[in-house]
Amino acid sequence: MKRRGFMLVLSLMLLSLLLVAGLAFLERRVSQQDGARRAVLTARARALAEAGIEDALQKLYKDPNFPPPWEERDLAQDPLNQHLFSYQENLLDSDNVTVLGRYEVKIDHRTMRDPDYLMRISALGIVGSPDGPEASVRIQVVVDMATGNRSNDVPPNPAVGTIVEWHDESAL
Amino acid sequence: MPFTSKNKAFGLPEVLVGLFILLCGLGVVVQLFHSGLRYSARTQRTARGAMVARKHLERARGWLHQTANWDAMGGYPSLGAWVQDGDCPEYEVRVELLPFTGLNPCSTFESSQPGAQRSLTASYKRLKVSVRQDGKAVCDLASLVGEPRRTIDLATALQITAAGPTTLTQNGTLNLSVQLKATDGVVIQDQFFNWRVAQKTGNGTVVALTRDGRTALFTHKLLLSNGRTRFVNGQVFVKAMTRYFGQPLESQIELTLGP
Repeated sequence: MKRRGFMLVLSLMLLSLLLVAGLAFLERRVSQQDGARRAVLTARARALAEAGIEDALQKLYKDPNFPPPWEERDLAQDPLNQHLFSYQENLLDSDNVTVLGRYEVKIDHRTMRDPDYLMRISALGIVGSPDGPEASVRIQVVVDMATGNRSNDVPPNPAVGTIVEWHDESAL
Repeated sequence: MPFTSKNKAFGLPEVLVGLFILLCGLGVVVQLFHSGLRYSARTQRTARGAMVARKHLERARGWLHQTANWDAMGGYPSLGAWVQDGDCPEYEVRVELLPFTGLNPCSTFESSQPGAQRSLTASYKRLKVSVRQDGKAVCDLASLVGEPRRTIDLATALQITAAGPTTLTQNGTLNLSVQLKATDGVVIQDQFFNWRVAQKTGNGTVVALTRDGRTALFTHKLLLSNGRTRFVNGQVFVKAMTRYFGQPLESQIELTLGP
């Protein structure tokens, strides 16, 4: 009975098993680390999206001409989506040079008419370069803009200017 | 059993080579597991750090949404300093509140108006939260917080001030300014206004002097479309309008236009 080389084969088999287990363990940890990194980027993007919402709300609250007026017309004749006012801003650090992130805001006028009087604001917080963002989060809010009370249409509406809906979604 | 060449144990070289390979392999495997555990610790640190940063961001945001706190900026605990997190003492947290100027409606539009930009200088705070562990940065979040709503009296909040007598002769001018005041007397900053003339018996012209509409110039003169001027003596109302948290507000001042 030939047993030469058996120990070598046994060692290699055991080693292969351990190696596979080790690699699987490492791969799992790397993927968890990637998830944690993504969690940080998503948290950053969410904070930027919230900045976009705050930006738009203050303008909406304090400027009667914001968003810039839109002439009401048939939406079917509005192929360029002129009922949407959108803009984007960089959030700079205190040195006013370092870009901490970016947000894009869209304001939808379509429901600013009888009987809704609701303003829809959407803000996309973006981390990373504009061409290849590392993470982005979109937040959508609906603001009650009716001046009359919603039950009897008599002013004032105690809820005017309040956020009545808040949706938060991760895009990447 | 007798020891024969057909039934012998492992040879010494075979055992040595086998052990050598096994030890080398074990070293690699141990290294792999060690790296995995290190990753695991880093993952946990990063994920918890993000949660700690988020918690402090929300805490500071909630704090700023109280008008008294907004006005007394220095009152936030340990503002600008590294402090240990209460729930996760292994992390240090720094909260910074910095001024921020926003351009209205956006920087793209306003970049064409250097020196006369419509800006909001007191309506936002730039909020930065940094988290570190053992001196190493773990997570940094940056956002904006808007000024909280103030209580206003709808009837008296909007106040127009005339810089001179409210009786004007023909071609006479009067500088007007307007501001919005909360019930506690605080002037609400960064408010934008529109102006118009409401004819009673007389008529004139009002134009905003600044793009934010906070000051205006009334002239006892009407410019007609054919380029000629006309004077309409009598009483006239000059109205200022704004919107505060969705609530339209209007105020007026009565002027007397004489010959």
